[in-house]
Amino acid sequence: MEIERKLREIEAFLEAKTQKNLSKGELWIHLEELYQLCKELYEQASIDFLTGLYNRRFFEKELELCVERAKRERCVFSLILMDLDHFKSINDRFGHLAGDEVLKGVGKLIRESIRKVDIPARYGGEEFAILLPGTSFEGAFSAAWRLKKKLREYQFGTEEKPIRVTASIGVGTYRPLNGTSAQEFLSEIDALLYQAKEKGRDLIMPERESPTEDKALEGISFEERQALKGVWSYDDKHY
Amino acid sequence: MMISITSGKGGVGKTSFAVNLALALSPEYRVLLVDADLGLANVDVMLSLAPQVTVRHVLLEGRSIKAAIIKSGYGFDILPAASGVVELVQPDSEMKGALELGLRELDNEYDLLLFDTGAGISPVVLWFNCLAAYSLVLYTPEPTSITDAYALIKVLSRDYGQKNFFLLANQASQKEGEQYYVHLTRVINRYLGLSPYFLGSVPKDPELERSIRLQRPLLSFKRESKAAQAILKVGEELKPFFQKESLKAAVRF
Repeated sequence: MEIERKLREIEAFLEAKTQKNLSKGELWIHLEELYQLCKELYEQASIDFLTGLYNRRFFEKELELCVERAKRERCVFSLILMDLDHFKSINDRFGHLAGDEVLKGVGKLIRESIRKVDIPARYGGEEFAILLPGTSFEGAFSAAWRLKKKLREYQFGTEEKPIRVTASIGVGTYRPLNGTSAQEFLSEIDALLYQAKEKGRDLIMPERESPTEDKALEGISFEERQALKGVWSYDDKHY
Repeated sequence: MMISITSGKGGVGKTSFAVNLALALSPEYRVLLVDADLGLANVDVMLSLAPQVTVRHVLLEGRSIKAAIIKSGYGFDILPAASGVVELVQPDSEMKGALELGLRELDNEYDLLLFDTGAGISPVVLWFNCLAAYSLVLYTPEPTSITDAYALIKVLSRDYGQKNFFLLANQASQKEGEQYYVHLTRVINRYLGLSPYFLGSVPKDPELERSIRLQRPLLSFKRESKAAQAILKVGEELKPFFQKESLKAAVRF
């Protein structure tokens, strides 16, 4: 509301400008207001201005929402964290402008590789995050795998000065029954990303698509087994 | 629309049910039966077919998926699997990616893709179930089959986001099938928070056993038999769901 009012004031001011001469003082006041307005808008923005992806603040809010939704609806979602390898050396060798171009290009590649329901964000300097609602580990892993492949094959920079980029990736699936918080889940995946860096970069962790085998096939609990027993013991009573 | 026919436990009659269901629906719908046990073909054996090109040529030699489709001779089409090809038993991400693209393309050309999955809860079985809009879980009235059906539903719903289940009692009288359904659903509801839809029971039938030995679908020569009638009824139960398309269109890659 405040923003809308200010906008209207500045609009009126711009219209008035053509009609009468304004004093320098008035001009300063409006400039000051304009600056405040931009600052406010910037603070409220959910977009990362360089890449056009969502920014970290928006991503963190969405992550919280995903966790809440997963708990409520007993559904899963996945998270991909991706960090460009040796990005600093790109900045050093080709300059910051070229570095920014690479970030923009990666943003575009990410947007092209995901579905509309997914939430891509620039999480940090050269770190990206993608939330994949309703997606199991296998789906997320294959998305990460494709993204990594595309990135590795893509040529940034110019014909004369090609820039190649690889990325290290951590992937994981949130399982509501584990009861982890958004923050815990995020650090889990971040640890995987770190492992991918440690292991030599240009890697996805976990390395193999070993879906749930360990966790999911842990099977059914004693209570469930007891309850299921009722299913066939019922039978005995009636035949 | 894609529906997977699956069971957890093997030997509960998935393939013969799948073949007959495809036949029951094929006059009205364009049906493609996909032999989803990629490395251990079943469907072609069940129908005594000898496909020249199989999913093996598609995934390992880059043939187009359409080149592998054959006519069953009973009104529906088949995407045959390979027999005894180890690499296909657990396909890697690249193969699955290619297969998914192919299946999605075929999904536009057919009204219905039925996946006849392999037994167990191997990654590829789970993968096919995720791809499908609905998982049709078969069980027979015996403890191991019920436990495995429950375990499969649990894994699929908890870790793979599949929420849409049909239950079908095979080799069970109507009464048996229903009682098991009521109780199984109670457990599923309580622990997994889901309410699967009951499609009915297909009774044991000597005619069905005979049809398997003859390698011909029961519905193609004994429509009046008990099992055939039950399967036709299941087909009718399913039809209303075909309208509600794209229920999970965008959930997976």
